[in-house]
Amino acid sequence: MDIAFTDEDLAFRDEVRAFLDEKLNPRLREGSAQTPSVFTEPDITREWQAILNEKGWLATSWPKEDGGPGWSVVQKYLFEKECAIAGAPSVPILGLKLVGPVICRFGTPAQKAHFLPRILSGEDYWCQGYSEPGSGSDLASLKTRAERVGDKYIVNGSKIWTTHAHHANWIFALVRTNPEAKKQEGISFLLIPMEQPGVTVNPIMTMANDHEVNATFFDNAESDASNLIGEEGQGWTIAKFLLENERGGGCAAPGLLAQLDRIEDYARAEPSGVNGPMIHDAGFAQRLARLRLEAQAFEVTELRILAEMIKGRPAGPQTSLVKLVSSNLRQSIQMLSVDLFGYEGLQLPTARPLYGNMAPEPIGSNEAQVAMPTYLNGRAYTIFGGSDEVQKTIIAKQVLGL
Amino acid sequence: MNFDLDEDQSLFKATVERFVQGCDVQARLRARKLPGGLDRARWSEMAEAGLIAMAAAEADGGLGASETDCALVAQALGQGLAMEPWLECGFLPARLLAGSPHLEGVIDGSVLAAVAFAETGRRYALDAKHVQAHAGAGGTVLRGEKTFVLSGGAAELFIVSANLDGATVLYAVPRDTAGLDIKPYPIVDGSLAATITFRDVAVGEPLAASLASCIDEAMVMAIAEMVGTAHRLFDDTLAYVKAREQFGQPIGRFQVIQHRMVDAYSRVEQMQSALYRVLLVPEKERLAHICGIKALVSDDAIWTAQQAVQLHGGMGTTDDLGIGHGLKRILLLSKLFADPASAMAAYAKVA
Repeated sequence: MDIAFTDEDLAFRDEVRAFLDEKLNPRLREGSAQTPSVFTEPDITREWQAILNEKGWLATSWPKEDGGPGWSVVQKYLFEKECAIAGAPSVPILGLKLVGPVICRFGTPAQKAHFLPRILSGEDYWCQGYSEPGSGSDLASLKTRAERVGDKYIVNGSKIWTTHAHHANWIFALVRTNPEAKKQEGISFLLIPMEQPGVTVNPIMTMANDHEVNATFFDNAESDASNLIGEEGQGWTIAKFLLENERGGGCAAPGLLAQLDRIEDYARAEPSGVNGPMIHDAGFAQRLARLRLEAQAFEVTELRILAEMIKGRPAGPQTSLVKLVSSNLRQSIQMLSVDLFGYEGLQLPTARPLYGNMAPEPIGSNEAQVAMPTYLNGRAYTIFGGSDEVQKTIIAKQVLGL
Repeated sequence: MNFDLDEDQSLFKATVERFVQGCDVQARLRARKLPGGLDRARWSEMAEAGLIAMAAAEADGGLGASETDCALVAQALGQGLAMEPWLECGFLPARLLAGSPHLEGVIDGSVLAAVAFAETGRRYALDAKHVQAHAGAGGTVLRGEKTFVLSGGAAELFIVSANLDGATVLYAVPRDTAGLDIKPYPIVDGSLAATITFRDVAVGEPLAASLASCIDEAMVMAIAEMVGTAHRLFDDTLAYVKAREQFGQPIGRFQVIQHRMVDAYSRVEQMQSALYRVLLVPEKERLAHICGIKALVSDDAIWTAQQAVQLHGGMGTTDDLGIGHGLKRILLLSKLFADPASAMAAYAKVA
């Protein structure tokens, strides 16, 4: 048994670290730190995307022949880890990490040649059409209909929680192409252009005051039949691939540990109002210590999965455990951060963004200003991408055999 | 022994229930866009219904309602997800202004009063240090800064705690007094708090009331409002899990949801009993007892509200349902005057 990385991997890590140190300018760092959500706005992500694309380090989860860097699973992990520690902004994950790998795996040569370069360059910005108002946890009950008419699909229905649909020019959607078939079997994976009269995007404001998600309506929207990925009826299989690909080789713990480090730094400066700084408050120090131990253990859980992947074994249903643990840990850390700042942790700006010249002036520190928006935004972690309840059912059935 | 409401209590409760009928999410979002982030017409309506006067003594022109009557109103306002800052701008000022000529305008709703008790870097401490009262030949002036003045963006009158020769005393300061610099900022319940700087602000005689004892009473009201809000979130969530269908049946048919709802039910019932305990059982260490119960109720109310969000799924995270607004108000109340950790520490010391 051995938890160490090889010298080669460590040399790679140092290369990444040096690169991040050089390329992460103050604007990018601030944009990342002062974003309450996992989804960073395009003004920040586009700049970071261009820097990574130039280096060839953008599409980390794509095969080399499709434009990926050709990294091992360990290199991918180390890159994600260093980005999290350095506080790098996220890249537009819907294109690069969700639909991109699907096109690499299931796309025709023509689809790959058309879409992949445009994802890399940032010319196309993607959003995801999965959930519907009546189909959340029970995704397979989705009703949005795509009917083949000549060489086009005509799409009618609606999608909800379409993150960044208001920025996107393409949506990848699960649609029902065969209403006669059994639930999962009638579903297909269709790419639909957003800029057309049949598509309407309505904003949904979150309780954190973020405009991040939308309701997207299709009223006789059109998409060329050539925009179907895979075969008709293969949508459910592709959706599962997308989800597992998204979750495999996860690297959430380093970011959580970095967040705890920042909280500790602030706790050394934040007055307790009674006796010295908050770090000397026994109750607070114990909560911080406990969460750090949990995050450290979780880091090893992720490494255990990584070790399996190094041997070529798929991550499997253990990814549900990772999602479950990381979501709950993250929410506890976000609550700790709110509690750290006392009354200042109760500020909730209505303006966005919270970085740059137009940002509202914080009461106290920038970290205090972003604490409550981050906590409120973070309530979605145990809901999106399969709720806690769904993950537990998966684990109960597939891991525990119950 | 009897936990039924008496006639007066039923009347107050019915008044609040009528008042909160117009308080849906859309009305709330509209009100937050008004100057000061507050619907003054509704505030006047609340005052006309006697809901501020109830907190003032009869000798002062109030209705002299009991603490229990006031707590039942606070609970009903929570249950109705009222957006009005009754606790911080109604109840507390009505108590602090006892015997003051400023009280009349506060009771009739024409003057909105906000209480400046918090100071930067001093967390939940209530003794005044950062605002000093300097008594001189030309009268007394205030110097220093307060923060987290709830509804400070809308108020016409500030009740300010200040340090006078080492003691914490209170002054009434109209908004238009020279030397006040008011910076409003939005907080978690959607209202506008303010940071206020005092530059040689001339004030009259200190108020007669004691900040500490009025804050004790206000903490009881915070407990009551949290209990009411938690009740409401529980009720709404129960209705939702009965109606929302996934996998061909209402999600409330799944055992995991049933057990979660039972956990929430048991916490809400415990919270209700904790409120009655603080109202009905005399304790020698009353302040510590209030702190302990506030810590307990805060933790359970936050848990219940978080579960309400979780069980509503994506919808629970939006600003379109009362669920998120209830969670946000509970987060504010849970930290008002003391957060659960500091309140529990205060209780544990004497318990």
